[in-house]
Amino acid sequence: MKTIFRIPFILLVIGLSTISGYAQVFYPPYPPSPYRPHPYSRHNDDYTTYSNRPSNHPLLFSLNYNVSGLLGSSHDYIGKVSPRGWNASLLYPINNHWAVGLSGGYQDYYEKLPRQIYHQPGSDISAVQTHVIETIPILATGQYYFSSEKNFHPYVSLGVGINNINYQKWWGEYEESHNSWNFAVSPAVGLQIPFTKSQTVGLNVQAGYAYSPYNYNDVKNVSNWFGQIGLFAQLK
Amino acid sequence: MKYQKFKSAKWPILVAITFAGLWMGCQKDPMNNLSIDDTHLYITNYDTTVNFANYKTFSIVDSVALVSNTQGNSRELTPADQALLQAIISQMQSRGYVLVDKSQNPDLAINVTKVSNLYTGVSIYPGYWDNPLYGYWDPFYWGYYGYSYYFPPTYQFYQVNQTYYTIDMLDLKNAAKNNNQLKVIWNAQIRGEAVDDPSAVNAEIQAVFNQSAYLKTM
Repeated sequence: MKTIFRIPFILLVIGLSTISGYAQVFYPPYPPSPYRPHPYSRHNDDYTTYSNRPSNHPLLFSLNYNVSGLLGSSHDYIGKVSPRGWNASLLYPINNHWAVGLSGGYQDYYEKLPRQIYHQPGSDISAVQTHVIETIPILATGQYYFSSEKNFHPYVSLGVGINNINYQKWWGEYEESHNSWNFAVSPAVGLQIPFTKSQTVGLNVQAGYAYSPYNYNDVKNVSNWFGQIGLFAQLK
Repeated sequence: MKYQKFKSAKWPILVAITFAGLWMGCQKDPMNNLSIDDTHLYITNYDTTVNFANYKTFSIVDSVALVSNTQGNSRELTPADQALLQAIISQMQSRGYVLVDKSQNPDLAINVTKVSNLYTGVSIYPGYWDNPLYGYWDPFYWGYYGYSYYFPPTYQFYQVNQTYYTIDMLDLKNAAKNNNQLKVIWNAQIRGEAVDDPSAVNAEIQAVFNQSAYLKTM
């Protein structure tokens, strides 16, 4: 009895797999065709036109050199501006105005203080202190472009995520360190200037502010301003 | 970041190389920016309840106790050690203390220990006063047979990875009152690179006394 039910089932499986072998399924992006608009295009332009639009390409990559200075109590800890940093982002354009993705970077703040005597009850230490803060932010980033039609694209962005803060206080050659992951938020304004007509590569400049709650020794919260310059490229 | 999304295989490699280069190029190593003098730490601890003007005379050991995990424990008197002992005597005398022989019942005794350890790993002491390195000078040296040392609890210190000097000032005057203990009322540590360089010891002793203005007979 059971065999009778099995036979049509086996036939069905064989039939389906045979049919599916002939069936052609297209996943976006569709193969280029001059006869129909690209599915990502929101206009009825032909392929050549929309291919010049930055927002119609998936993944916008940007790599930047970053200069940053600490603010608040972290500025009291390290007053020197850090020219040692970089930032990168990988964004997916949802439409002509919005792009979302990930951004991350690294910054190394450093200051060597002249010899001083540090007093504690019953204890005095004379030392050359070196202060170091290293930050590695990893942020979910949303970017809003005011215009994608012209030769430059001003934008605002907001990143929310985590920031690895590596605090170091060197007493001469003795290191006291503290490492932790912290919440991070970073608003910024920027400008993209394409080099080519196709707008696939260009210059990126950005300036902004970042804040992370933090509390260790004399550093309460790590906040900083930053300025960055680099390149953006659309990855096809 | 998920590089799998890239259609070109070249991108992830290029990006990874660029990032690695940026990462390493960006960091500034504090150790590379310190001169030998910059590495020196002068640490002084003192008993805040003690009035150092209550003591008039002092005596000092005739050699330096060497505590080493490679050379064993012994006493030594290198040119640097001699200069160090002499510098301590000069500084104490300039503060008004009178140097006497240990047989003349000095109020204060000064022990000098050089710790010369070679660690291949990182070692952290829970605290200076709990440090088993101290007390290599037998209290009997000061004529206090059967006495022990007392180290008050205080500041926490850092790991040991090289040669350093530690100088302990003992209260002999009140030894009997202090439960038959030779209480350490002042301690100085000189740490960093090449602290046992004969040309550096004078400046080192000068530094620890400069930050100990309370050491005076008046």
